[in-house]
Amino acid sequence: MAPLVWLVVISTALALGTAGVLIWAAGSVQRERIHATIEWGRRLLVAQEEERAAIARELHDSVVPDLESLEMHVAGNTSTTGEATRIAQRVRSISRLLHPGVLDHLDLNAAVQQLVATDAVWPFTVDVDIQALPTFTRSQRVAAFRIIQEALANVRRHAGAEGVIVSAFHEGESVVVTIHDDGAGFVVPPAERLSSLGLRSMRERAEALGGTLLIESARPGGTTIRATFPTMAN
Amino acid sequence: MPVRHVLIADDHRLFADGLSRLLREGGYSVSIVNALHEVEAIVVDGKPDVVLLDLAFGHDSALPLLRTLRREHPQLPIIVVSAMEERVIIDSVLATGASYIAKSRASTDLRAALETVLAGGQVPRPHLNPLVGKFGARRIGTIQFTDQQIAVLAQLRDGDSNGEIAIALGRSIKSIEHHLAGIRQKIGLTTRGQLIRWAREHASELGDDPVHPPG
Repeated sequence: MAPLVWLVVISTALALGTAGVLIWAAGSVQRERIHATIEWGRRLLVAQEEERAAIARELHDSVVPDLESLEMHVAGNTSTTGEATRIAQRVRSISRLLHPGVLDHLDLNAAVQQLVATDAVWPFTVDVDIQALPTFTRSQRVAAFRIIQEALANVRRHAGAEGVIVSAFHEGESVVVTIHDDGAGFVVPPAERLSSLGLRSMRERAEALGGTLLIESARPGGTTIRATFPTMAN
Repeated sequence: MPVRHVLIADDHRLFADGLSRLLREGGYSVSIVNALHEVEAIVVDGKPDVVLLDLAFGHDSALPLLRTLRREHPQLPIIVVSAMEERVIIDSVLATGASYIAKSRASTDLRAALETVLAGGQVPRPHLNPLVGKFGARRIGTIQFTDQQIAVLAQLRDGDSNGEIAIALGRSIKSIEHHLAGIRQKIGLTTRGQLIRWAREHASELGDDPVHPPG
């Protein structure tokens, strides 16, 4: 009898074990799929940014000068004078919307100064405090710029703030970018339930480069968005 | 007058050719270089009287080259002819001592600009929109602070609480805390007492006479 009991015990254990392994495996397949989807989304985001930059450069560095050359070739023909230049201006502003071209030449600080001081009139004061970030990669600069741009647009739309502080500095092995406003504040939904496309895209941009994004908001007290990027050793 | 030699450095061939034709008609001798990495060698060999430099060469910026050329050949006049018309870009160009002309103005303004720099003059600064924001930065010792941070430090020196600073500067307490965090991070001091001591040690550099004299 005893061997039979053992056989039952062992086979039951094996069956349970197998089922467990199967369930665990199914779970892990599910998890892998989710991870793969998230990873895919992030790569798309990076690819989209690169593609936009390429289109913007093509417009800015090829089409615009083409039009300027045309202007030079037709110089003196009064009926068309200035026409090509006007088209060039329009193309240039499309290019600027697609990609912050300043970042191809200067650092994050300069691009944000440009955004804050000359590209738009903001109904609040902005204190820009961005340190030199020599280890920041080009894609990190672009992501940080997009997050700052989106955050400022949000403050303008919703917060009724008087003052905004934009800062970026090295903290240990990371670069921390914060946008703080003294506006109305809002109830921050849990990360997975973020419905605002702006907030979601900010988070995605940070995470696509291995970073994180924290949103803190209080009524009153305002909102602080804090993006942390790992500094790359390459 | 000897024929003046202009070097056009621009990777956009059509634009460079258009410019070249315009200048030849004006009696200049012109050569063109389309690759950024060849510019410096051609400057050394060709000894141009003036360089017209584009800023964007594909992915690469010509700003580092501009700084090198200004350092190595300070007598050589350089006019940046660029489609980048952003204020911060123009400011960076002018800071090197080079002149700047927007590509959109090249057909009308370039000849006059060339004559000016060849005569040893300075091309007038392009008309720029006034800056809207207010973010002057000031250095105390080796540390750069924003205007707002300086204002917070000045209040701190006078012994004000965060609430008092907030009222004085018309900002929220939270914003003042944020400025203090930024200041702490820069100076590398953690306690409020240390910050106040630091502000008092640098009292005169913080502007305005303290309301409550230190000591």
